[in-house]
Amino acid sequence: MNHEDKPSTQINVGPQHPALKEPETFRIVVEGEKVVQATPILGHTHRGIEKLAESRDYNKLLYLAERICGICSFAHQANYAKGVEIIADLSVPPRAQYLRVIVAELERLHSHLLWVGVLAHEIGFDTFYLLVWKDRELVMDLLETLTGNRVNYGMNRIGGVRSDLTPEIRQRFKEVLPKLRERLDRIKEVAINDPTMKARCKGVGVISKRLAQETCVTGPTARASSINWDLRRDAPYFAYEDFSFKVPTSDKGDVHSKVVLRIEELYESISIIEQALDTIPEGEIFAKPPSRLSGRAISRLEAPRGENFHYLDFRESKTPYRMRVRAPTYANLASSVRALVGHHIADVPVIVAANDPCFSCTDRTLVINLDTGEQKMLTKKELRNIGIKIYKEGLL
Amino acid sequence: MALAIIELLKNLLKKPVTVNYPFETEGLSLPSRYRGLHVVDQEKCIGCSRCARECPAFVITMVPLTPKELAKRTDKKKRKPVFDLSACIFCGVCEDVCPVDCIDLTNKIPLPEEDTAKLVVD
Amino acid sequence: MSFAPDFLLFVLEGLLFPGVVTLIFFAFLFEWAYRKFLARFQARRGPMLAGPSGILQPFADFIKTASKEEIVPDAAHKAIFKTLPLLAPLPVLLGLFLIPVSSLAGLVNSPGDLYLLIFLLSLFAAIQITLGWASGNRFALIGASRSGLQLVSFGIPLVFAAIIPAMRAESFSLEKIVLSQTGYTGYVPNWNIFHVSGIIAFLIFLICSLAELEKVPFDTPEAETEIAGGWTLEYSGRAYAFIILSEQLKEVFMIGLAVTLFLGGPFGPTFGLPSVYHAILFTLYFLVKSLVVVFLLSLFSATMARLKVSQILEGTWSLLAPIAVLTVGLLIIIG
Repeated sequence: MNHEDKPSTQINVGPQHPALKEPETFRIVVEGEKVVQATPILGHTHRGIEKLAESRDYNKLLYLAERICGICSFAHQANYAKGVEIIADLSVPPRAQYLRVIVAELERLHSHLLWVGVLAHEIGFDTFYLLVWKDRELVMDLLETLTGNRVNYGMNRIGGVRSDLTPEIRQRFKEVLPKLRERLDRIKEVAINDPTMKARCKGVGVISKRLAQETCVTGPTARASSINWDLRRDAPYFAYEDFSFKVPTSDKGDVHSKVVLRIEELYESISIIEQALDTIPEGEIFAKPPSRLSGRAISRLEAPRGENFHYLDFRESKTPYRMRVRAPTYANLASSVRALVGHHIADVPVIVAANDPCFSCTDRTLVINLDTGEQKMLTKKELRNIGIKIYKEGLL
Repeated sequence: MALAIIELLKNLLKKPVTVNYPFETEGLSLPSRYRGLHVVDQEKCIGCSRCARECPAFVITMVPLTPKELAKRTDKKKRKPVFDLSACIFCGVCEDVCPVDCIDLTNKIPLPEEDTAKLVVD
Repeated sequence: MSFAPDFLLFVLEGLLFPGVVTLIFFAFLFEWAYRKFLARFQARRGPMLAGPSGILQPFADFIKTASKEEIVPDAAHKAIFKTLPLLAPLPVLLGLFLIPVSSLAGLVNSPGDLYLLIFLLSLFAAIQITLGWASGNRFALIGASRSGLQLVSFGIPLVFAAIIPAMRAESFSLEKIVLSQTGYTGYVPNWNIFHVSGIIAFLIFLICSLAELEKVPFDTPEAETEIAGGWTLEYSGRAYAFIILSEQLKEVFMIGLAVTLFLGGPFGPTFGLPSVYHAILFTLYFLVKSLVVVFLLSLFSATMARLKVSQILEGTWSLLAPIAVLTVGLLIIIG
């Protein structure tokens, strides 16, 4: 589309912008208040984690994997541990699997509540944001009692988990979870019925099923666009096949349906935790891994934000030959950029926030030529050519 | 909306949720599993350096004992672990791998310091 | 009485009580109260360190901001960027002199007070637009244009809401409007708010004040998460401190206007005290009534999310303005 003939302004939302808590640029062309074009510019927080991974042994890598993302730290760590366990052909004791489910669902609770708060803040509803975060503290306390920390729990080890569930902690869970469900009812009521919330979120940033499929979205973003896909149910890992839970979906695809959908997911999370607490088997919580690993594995996991993907390649060593991470935001970003077009500037933060973006997890495609200091972003074509070249020369 | 107003007015009468930390610490407690400041029982430590090997952040260095300290020891311990808290990620691996349980991550939160050299614990 | 003492008294009144110093004190007090109320609604503590319960926080903010480095962007219109922020509080102060604070009349009064006030309101918006334009930032420009849109859309309901007390007092002078509300019907004071048309007009006026003061849900011109502070974005240091001050004075202005028009102004029972003490009593009444309005404003903005510009335009033109006009009609019919 040619915008030369119309009076249009280009504004950069980011890398420093109050709406985005992490550095990322959205170059937006507006006509008046209307967005006519949006381009994401990635790479502001590239941290070289994948390269660093090649120099750490697999036990230490657990803590690096945990630090890929601050919010879904458990998802990354557990996914990495899962990958190593697949390579080592290690069977994890059932009690450890249950404990992983409990922490994963607690993390979903805290991540989704955080997101509801952030969205409320983006639309200027600070009261809702602060009150939701107040209730989120209940979850944070539970995580702290079980794992020893509020974030970066350090819960996993290769072959199991590090801390066990004691009767006192179980009691604590039993006390807090009903309270949490009560608060969730209240949050849901406000999110669904509040007139200004509806005014700002209904019909905004609609991602149709077709667009969702084209841009390969994952997680709640996909489920809000009537793509019924949840790894916990469709490709069960840990102990998820032991629990009964629903996967809420919606066919609207707008921001408001994502709010409702995420809150409904939280009810399921609470129910999964309650089932796990009731049926958790006794026994060991970890199995000893071998000292050297060999093989490749792809490990996938349903993180709060969507599908988390780790590729691991070990060649008779303690350190991986290659580690590749794809965080869910990377999959969801393209859809939100497409959804921006045609909306007002006021909708930009809402639509961008709707996918629960985590840019620091995402940034890993920046290429820096060390000799010249030149930075460039690889295009899809270039990436493809490099891939073909590597494949032909048998480097992989 | 009417319900929201009622809830807000209730909040007005209640005590704020925010705790005036560090002036008020009433009702605040860290769970026993919290991973805080390291305390090392150097008497118990056998100097095996497993913690230094396993530390994911490479913050533990094994320092040779001084002659004075050496004289006190009856076993073969020659080195002791020293923790650089400025780079520590408080994961608690050292606590897990210690064969004699001489490392303990306590409930204390290390205080901020201007000089990173002050954050070295042994 | 010779000319000199009168003039001296007038200067003293203008500068100290109930003049500039008192008004700035009110501005900081109302800002503190607003922030404190908002914080308590949100289960927070709000300002708490500067002075008892943080009451000096707005003052501390002012001093701190004013002592920061002032940065002038390359793209800015230098002369306007540097001078206009410092002049911004002046028209607001002029407007505030018209509002009765310590006596039944303002420091300055004329038969056409209300006309002047309405003119001043559009002057504030004009200053905002110029400030936004002069900073040469695209976000600021968007903020400035939103500011203009709000002025256009909230002007009509605001004027109609303000006209209702004037119609009841049959005068455009604020003094007359206050005087018309001094009596009692039974135990209920004759305030405009206790009249059917008055209460509707009061609510419309409150909503318009929120827009005029750029508070949630009408804070689109400086929406932080959308356009990063809007027209205030590029200002820093002393210039920004003065912009904040003028915003806070505007808060006093709008709240004072609401009190004057609908809550009987500073008038209240005098308990037969000699008239010397009346000024103090009236100021106290004014403060209490104002704090009630601050409370309502903060409650209103705590329960809402920020609306979009298009929604605001739609809401004002299709809802607020017709209601305001109908209320005037109602007053004409029932008298």
